[in-house]
Amino acid sequence: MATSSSSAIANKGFASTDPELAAIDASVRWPVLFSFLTSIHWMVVGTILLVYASSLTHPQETIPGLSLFVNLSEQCSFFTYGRVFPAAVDALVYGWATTVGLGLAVWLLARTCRTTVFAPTTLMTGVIFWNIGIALGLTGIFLGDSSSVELLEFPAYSTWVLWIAYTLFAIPLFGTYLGRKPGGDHLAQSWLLVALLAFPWLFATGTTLLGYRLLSPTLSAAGLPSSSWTGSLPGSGVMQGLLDAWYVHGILTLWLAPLGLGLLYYLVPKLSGLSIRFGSKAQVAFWTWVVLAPWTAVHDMVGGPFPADTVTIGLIFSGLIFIPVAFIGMNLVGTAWAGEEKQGHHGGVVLPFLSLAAVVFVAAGISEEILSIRSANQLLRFTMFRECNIFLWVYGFFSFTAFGGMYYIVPRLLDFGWRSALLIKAHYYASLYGILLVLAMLGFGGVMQGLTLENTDTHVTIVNANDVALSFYIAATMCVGLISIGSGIFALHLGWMVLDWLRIQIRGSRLASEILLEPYEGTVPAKSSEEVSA
Amino acid sequence: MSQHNPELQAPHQPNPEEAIRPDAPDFIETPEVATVSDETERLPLWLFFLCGFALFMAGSSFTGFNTFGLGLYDQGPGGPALGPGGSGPDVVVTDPVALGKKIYNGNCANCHHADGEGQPGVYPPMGGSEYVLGSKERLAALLLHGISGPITVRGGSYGSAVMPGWAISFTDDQMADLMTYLRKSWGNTANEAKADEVSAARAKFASKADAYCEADLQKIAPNGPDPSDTKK
Repeated sequence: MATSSSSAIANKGFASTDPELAAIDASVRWPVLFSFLTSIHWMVVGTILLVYASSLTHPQETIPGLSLFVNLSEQCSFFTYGRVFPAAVDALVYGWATTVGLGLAVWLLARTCRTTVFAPTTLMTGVIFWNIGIALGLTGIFLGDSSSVELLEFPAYSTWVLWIAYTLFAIPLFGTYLGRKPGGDHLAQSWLLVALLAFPWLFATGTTLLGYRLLSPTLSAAGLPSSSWTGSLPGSGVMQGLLDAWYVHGILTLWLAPLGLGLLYYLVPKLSGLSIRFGSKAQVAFWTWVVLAPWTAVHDMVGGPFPADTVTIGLIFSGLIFIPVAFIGMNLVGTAWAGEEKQGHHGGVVLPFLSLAAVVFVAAGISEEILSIRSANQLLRFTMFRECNIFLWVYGFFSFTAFGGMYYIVPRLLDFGWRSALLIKAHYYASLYGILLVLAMLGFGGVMQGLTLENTDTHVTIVNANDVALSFYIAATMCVGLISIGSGIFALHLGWMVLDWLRIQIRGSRLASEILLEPYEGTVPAKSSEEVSA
Repeated sequence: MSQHNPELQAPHQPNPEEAIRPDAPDFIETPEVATVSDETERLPLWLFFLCGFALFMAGSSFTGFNTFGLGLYDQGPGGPALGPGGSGPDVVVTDPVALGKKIYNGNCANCHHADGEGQPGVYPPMGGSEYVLGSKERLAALLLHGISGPITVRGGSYGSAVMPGWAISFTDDQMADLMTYLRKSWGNTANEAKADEVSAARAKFASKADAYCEADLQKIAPNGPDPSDTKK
C-alpha cells in the first residue's frame, strides 16, 4: 500500500493539542455525539413537518409539488394542520434545539469546569431516554393526544419519560460541576448554569400547573377525576394563558438563549484569539437579561383579560431588555467581527456561523423590543410577526450557534475532519439568505397584515388582511425551504463524516475518496503480487 | 492568529473542493485568552444615549399606564376600565359624548363614516343635519325604527339605501348617549338627549312595525329645533 502523501485528506490531528482539553473531549465523546446525531434526526423530521404545515396556510397549488400533500390532509386526520404544526414545533424545540442543547451543555460544562465528565454512561442513558420521550410525545400528538397548550402539547406518558431523562442527565452534570477545577471560564459557565437550572424549573411548573397532564391520569386512577381538583390549581381559568406565555418565553429566553450565549461567550474569544470587547459590561448584561427577559411573556397578553399592572410592568421590563441585548451585541458581534477581520475573511468555518448567530440574537432582541411598545404590540400581536420572532430565536439564533458549535466540536470529539469545505459554505449561505428572507417576509408581512387588520376603513375586513398575509406566507414557505436545504446539507455532511470515521475505525484503512484525491506523482506504483494475481 | 502562534504565520486557507484540514484556523488551539480583558473599553456615546432613551421610555410608559389595583384589567388610557367592581378604584367613564362615540364608531360609522359626512346620494351627513338637530322625539323614532326612501338633508337628497331600526340593539341609556354624541359633534351644538326621552319615544312609537319614510317623520315634528333646546 502506498504511503499517505502530504496532500491527501488528513484524518488525524483535529483533536485539541492541549492534552487536558483532549482528555475532556474524549470523556464526553459518546453522549455528545449521540445527542448531536439524534438532534439532527429530529431537525430533519421537524423541518419537513414545518414546511408541510407552512404549506397548509395557503393553497398548495401555488408551489408545484405540494399538491401531493393536499390529499394527505384531506383524507387522514394525522396530517391536518392542528396536529402537524404542534408536532413540527415540538420536534424543533424539544427534539432538535433541546437535544442538541443538552449535548452542547455537557461539552461546555466539562470544558468550563476543566474536568472530565462525571458518569458518562448515565449521561448516555439520559440522552436515550430523552429521545424515547420525544418520539412518544410526537406519536401522541399525531394520534390526537395533544394537550393543546402551546409548547406543552406532549401527552402525559411522554412527559414522564422526559422527566426521567432530564433527571438522569442532571446527575452527571451536577457531579461534573462539583468536581470543577478553579480558573474556568466563569462568563460562559454562568450562562450555562442559568439554562440548566431554568429548564427543569420551567418544565416542572409548566407540566404540573398548566396542562395538569402529569398528575391527572395518576389521580384519576386513585379516584380523583381531574374535574374535582383542577379548579383549585393556580394555573386554572384565565391564568392558563399567562402561565403558558411565561412558559413559552421562558423556554426561549431562559433555556435556549442562555445556552447559545454560553457557547458564544466561550467559543468567540477562543476562535478569534481576542478578549471579549466591552467585556466589563458582560456581567451587567447577564444579570439584566436573567431578570428582565422572562417578562417578554406579556407580549402575548396585551389587551387580554389580565391585570393591568402585570401587563404594564411586563411591557416596561421587557422593553428594558434593550440594555442587555445592546451589551451582548457589543460583546459578541464586536468580538466575532474583529476576529473574522483578523483571520482574514476566509479563515475558518466556525466563526462565520457564530457571528451570524450573534447578529441574529440582536435581531431577535430588537423584535422583542418592538413588541414591547404597546401600540406596536397592538398592531402586530395577531400577525405573522410573532411567528417571525419565535423563528428568529429557535431557527435563527439558537440553530446557528448550534451549527457553529458542532462544526467546532465534532472534529475534536472524533479527531476526524469535515469532509468538504464546499458543503459548509453551501450550508452557510443557505442559512444566511434563508434567515434574511424570513426576516423580510414574516417581519414586513406582519406589519402589512397588522396595518390591514387595524385599518379603520370599515370596508377593509379580516378577509383583506388574510389576502395580504397570503403572499407573504407563500414566500415564507419558500424561505423555510431554503433554510431546510442548508440544514439538510449539514445533516448529510455530518452523516458522511461519521460514516467515514466509523469505516476507518473498523477497517483501519484509508478511504476510497482519499486514494482518489491523491495527486498523480509521475510514476504508476508497481502492482503488488496480490493485485496481479487477482 | 500570528501573535499567538508565531510558528504558524499563515494558516491554511481551505480550498472549497477539499476536506477541512487540521491546520485550518478552526483547529489551531489558541492559547487561552482572558475572556474579559483587564483594560475597560468605554461604551460608545450613542449606545449610552440609546440606553438612556430606553429607560426614559420605560419611565414615561409607567406614568402613562400606572392605573394599578386588584380589580383593574388592561384597557389602556381613555377606555373604560372593565373591573369587576371589587376592591380597586374603578375609573368609570360617564361622559355621554365619549360613550356615544363608541356606539357610533361601532355601529354607524360603517355607512355614515367616522367624520359624520356619510356618502353623497346614499348616506346622509350628521353635521348640520335637520333631523339630528331638530326634534329629539323625531330623531329617536328614526333611530329606533329606521328609515327607507329618499330623505332631504342639508338641501341634498339621500336614501338609495335603507337604514335599519336599532330598537332592540340599544338600551335607552345607550340610545341617549348616541343621540347626545350626534347632537354635539361635527359642529352640532344642540342639547343632550336623556334616557327618559328615549323611553317615552320608544313607548309612543311601539306600534310602528316598519321603517319610516320622510313624510311620516315630518308628521311627528317639522324641521326646527327641539322645544327643550332653549339655546335657539
